[in-house]
Amino acid sequence: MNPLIQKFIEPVVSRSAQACPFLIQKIALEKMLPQVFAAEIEEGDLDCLEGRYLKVLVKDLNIGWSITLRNSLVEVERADGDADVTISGDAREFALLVSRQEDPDTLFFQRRLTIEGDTELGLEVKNILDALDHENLPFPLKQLLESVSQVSRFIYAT
Amino acid sequence: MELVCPAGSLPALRVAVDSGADAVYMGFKDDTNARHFAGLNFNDRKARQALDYAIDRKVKVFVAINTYAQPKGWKRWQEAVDRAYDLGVNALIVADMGVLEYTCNKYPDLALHLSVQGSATNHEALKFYHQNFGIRRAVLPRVLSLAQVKLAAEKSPVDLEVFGFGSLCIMAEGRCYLSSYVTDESPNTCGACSPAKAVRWEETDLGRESRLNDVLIDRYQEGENAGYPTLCKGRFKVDDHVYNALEEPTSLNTIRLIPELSAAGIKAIKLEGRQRSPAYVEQIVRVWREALDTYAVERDNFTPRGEWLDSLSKVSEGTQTTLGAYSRPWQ
Ligand code: SF4
Repeated sequence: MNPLIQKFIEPVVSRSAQACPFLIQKIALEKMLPQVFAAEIEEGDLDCLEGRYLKVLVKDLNIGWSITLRNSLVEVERADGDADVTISGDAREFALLVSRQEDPDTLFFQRRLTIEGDTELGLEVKNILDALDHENLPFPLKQLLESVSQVSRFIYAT
Repeated sequence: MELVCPAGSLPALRVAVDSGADAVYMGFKDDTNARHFAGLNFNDRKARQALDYAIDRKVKVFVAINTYAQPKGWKRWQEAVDRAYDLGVNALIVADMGVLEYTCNKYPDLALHLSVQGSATNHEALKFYHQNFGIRRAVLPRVLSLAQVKLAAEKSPVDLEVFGFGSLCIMAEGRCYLSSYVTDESPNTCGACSPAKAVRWEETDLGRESRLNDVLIDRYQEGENAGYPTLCKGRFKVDDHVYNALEEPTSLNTIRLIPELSAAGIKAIKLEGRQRSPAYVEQIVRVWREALDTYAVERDNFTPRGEWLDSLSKVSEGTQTTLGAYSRPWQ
């Protein structure tokens, strides 16, 4: 880890994430997620989320969302209600997970990630994330993922 | 020795192939394989893409149909075999004698490997499977010591594959009913030990608790590494002592034994973990590829590099690696 850079970057990310109104987060996520998971939604792989809530909590940034599918449309809500399964951890862990630099089970064994609630739903979402074909993502999203990967490699390199 | 690597998804398969696998093994999306978890494994389209990717790069593909066919679902097992044959895979990994017989009668030219779940521990058992079903390879259970592996290899009529790395499930492969005891489902019958629907994790004041069908399996304190919530790896109170009464959550790592396994005539090393992510697959395959290549050059002077062991133990269950039963002299 690179503590110095982290010290500078984290508060910036944290403050901008918190300052970004929920409505904007909601609009951004509801636009992005259906693109990322287009094939999975189409093939019914994500039917497990129909009417059920997955809560994602980024603890150190103090932000979170409840995500569900309604008639195959992604809906993002505030994370203050109940959810069927809750996955929580710090921003670093999520960045490493999404950019495939760390294995989710490892993060879980080391207790850097927590899954509470319906384990089967959590596992299914994890497996779908693992199976996601990054090659097939629309170009801007591939770029975004690449940047997350580079930034997290830079900040969190061990 | 051939390096046989796990693939639970297409991205995992691609990184296994790109990181140096000689063969990859995968399963279909149902209970015909022993990693039957929601969201994991291959439907027809993904299986086709997987085959094309691997074959283009001269990497073999094995399909695990290694659970025990249940009377109600026999058709599913037959269809899985048919589908694998139509895909043109290099071999099937099978445990159940009914499935073995179906395959060797219908597709005599399709290579059969006896799954670890078949639990063949000596050369007489291997001979039986060879004579009756024409198996070409067998995966030895992880309950054997190195001396026992050598003994089996000496007289085995078929090629042998052993586990090189991964989570341990060593109680009695192919015969373990601990999971059934608590959840009514076990790897052999339903393709999953501790099915996720029976698992609950909870952060409490006493620590992270794992429950299997409401039975408390373990409670991890701050800073303690957790393991998979299987009954065998839980901590239980026996005579006022709370400890891992059956098995500790560790991972097997036999990099050190490469020279001995090779000398014993073992033909393939299997890495465990179809349930794990592409990140895990990439890390373990890369290390094992390098280790086997290094051994091919150094031979007698082979010593495992510290950094290999470090990166393997980082992704291990319980972050502890052992030689497992291979090192048990008393066996
Ligand atoms: S309970 Fe343990 S030994 Fe038995 S099948 Fe599950 S992991 Fe293997």
